[in-house]
Amino acid sequence: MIVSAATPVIGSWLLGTLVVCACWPRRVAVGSDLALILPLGLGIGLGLSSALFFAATLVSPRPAPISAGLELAVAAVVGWRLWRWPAPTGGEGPTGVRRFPVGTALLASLFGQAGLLAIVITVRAAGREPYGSWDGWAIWNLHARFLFRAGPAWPALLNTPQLGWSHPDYPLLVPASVARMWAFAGSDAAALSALVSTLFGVGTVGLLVAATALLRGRIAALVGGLVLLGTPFFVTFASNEHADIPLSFFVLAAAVTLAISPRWPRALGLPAMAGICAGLAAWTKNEGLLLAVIAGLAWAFGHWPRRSWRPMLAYLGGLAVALLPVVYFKFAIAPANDLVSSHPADHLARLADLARHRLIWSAFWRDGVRFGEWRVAPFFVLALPLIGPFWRRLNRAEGAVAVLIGLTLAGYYGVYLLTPWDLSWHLEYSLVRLLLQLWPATIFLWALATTAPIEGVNYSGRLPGRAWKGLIALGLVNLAVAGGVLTLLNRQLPDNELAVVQAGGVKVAVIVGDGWFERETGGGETWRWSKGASTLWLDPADRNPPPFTLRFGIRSLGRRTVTARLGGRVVWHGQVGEAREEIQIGPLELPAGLTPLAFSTDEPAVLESASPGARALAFALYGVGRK
Amino acid sequence: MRTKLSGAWRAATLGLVALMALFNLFFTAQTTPPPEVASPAGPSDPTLRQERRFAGIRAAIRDRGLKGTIGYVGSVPPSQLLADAGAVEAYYRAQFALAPVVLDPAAEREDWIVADFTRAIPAWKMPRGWRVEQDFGAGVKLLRKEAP
Repeated sequence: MIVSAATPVIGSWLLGTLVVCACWPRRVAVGSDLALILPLGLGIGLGLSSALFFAATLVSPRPAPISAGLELAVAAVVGWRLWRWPAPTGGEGPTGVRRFPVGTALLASLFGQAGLLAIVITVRAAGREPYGSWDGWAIWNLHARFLFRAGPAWPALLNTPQLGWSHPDYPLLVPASVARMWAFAGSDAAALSALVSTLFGVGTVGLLVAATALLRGRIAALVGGLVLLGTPFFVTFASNEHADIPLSFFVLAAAVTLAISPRWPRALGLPAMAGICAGLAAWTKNEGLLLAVIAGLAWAFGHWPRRSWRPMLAYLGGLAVALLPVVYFKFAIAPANDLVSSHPADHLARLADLARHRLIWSAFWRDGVRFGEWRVAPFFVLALPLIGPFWRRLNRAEGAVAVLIGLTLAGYYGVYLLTPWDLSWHLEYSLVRLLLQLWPATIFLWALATTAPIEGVNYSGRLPGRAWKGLIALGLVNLAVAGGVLTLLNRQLPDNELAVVQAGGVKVAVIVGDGWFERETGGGETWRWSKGASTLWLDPADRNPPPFTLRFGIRSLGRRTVTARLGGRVVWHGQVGEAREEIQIGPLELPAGLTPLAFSTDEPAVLESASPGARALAFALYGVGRK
Repeated sequence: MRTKLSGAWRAATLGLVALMALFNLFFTAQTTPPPEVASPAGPSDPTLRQERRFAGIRAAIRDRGLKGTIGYVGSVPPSQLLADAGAVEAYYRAQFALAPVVLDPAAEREDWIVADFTRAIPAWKMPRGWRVEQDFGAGVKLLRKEAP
């Protein structure tokens, strides 16, 4: 599975990296910018390979070999061109002796630990919802299944009116990427869809850090990366199999190519690459079509006034290439988009509807401060480094990143104004994800504005011997901290496990069965309410566990009798009231394997309140397994 | 002096930003537990539950070579499907599990029907003119139009 998943990932990454290298300014040694080229190559490669796979699905029931052949052909052509180029002249060799970079090393340590934590969280989030949340399975993975399972008949099937609810007009970068992974692996494992989604998340973090490091140095870059990793919605959503994180990658990539372009003002590869990124954004989501237009405007703004039209032509060329699959899909396969087919021009009166403006503004304000699902919203702290004339730290091209973000927000605002859907529902359902799409590019702009441009940054100088010793010591400390963090995380229990009880050296897991509500916590306590008849499963880690005693607190909503049976035998029976009581059951003798501990009660469950949606609760167990 | 002050301000505020980001990340780690352990109660993720519930009928549909569109009946009549959020969700999840066949809620026009009943139902509630071709348990059945 790992090998079969690695092959398409490495293949698309190599393809993307070759394309980025081909677009990179020729006089610069690509090796010195590899940190930036690699994340760009990851996202662009996934995008291009998805387009090639899409083409292959249209002609063959077994698209994987055709797609692989097409990828190899493109890679060979680009590779041959790269090989024919003259040797680079702009590379910078090691110069001088540097000081031990204390601040950078400490910050890099924090970033490393944060990255580790983010990976654990992302993997856990994927484990909780293997097929993603609603849009993940109902749109993106569903479309991927049609591409993978239906052969060349998928366009006709996806167009049947019965599937109109799944938005068959949505672009196919994510479904085709997922289907490509499945086709190469020979199995439609959910983990592979989560992998595609996660790769875009990793690429976004890498791109943000590498681009900021190039323009503003490593401190601003690492802090920017930490801000993104410290956005819970980004980290938990990265593996959720939606298209918003991939789109955020392409928005950021368009912003990055724009911001770095003044370094190589004559290079046409960068605007071409910006066009490719904007086109791939349109291949990701319908909102990306807006970006394709706005990124062009931002390029024009960033390079105004300029006599040559060649960069703009290069942008349009890159855009045209990347838009090919979008144009074919939209005109030859997809039904009309629901927003477009509602004839927005007929609803222009909505533009003057003040109530709609008020609703949209209030939603932007409400979701703007909460979309990241932060425990503490970071905006005040983010504003502190900007105190002073921060705009002087931005050149015109960097300022155009603000134009790109601002115009995109304005575009989203306009779409909400004209939406045929119920406006409140549409805002509630989608706005947080639209804001997330722009968040990495916003952090990039923020990081640029915190620090003055650093000209001629050179990290390649030699470090003195003492500095190496310091770095090695710091690396060892980091390993120890990472070990400690992983140990702590390892002690957390899954959602459906109440406790792991020690029974004479044998661990017995207490697993939640039927008849319980979600776990609740508060005041250092953890509890679960029962719906009435409910079951716990006892799972000893050993074939012959010794007898053990199970301890827990119990209280009830209303007075009732509760009975616990182990394999049909009553092991506890008692009156329970509103006041919590501590009880213990045992010693229990368990057979090998899972054994049910069934609870029953003589009184029906009671509504917890008179409000709508109130739960009917019977009794609650507290602190199961605590000594 | 001014440059030193501004450098110190920048370092201090960027440090604060880094600490706040770490705080948010640690909190997220605390509230994101590991994936569930296997249990006889089955997974709590509804999509995963439906995947397992429909695994048998998916294989049966594939083995019979059924393609294109087939009928779907749920726990509510087709005319009430769109008005019942729970029934709509059940229909969408069934469609996800059974792709690439397309499920048609107007089932009577199809020769085959996927029955998705959340509980066992008496035979008189089955659509008239169809018989149970195969019962997969948990309320999932494959129905076939009886010959006229």
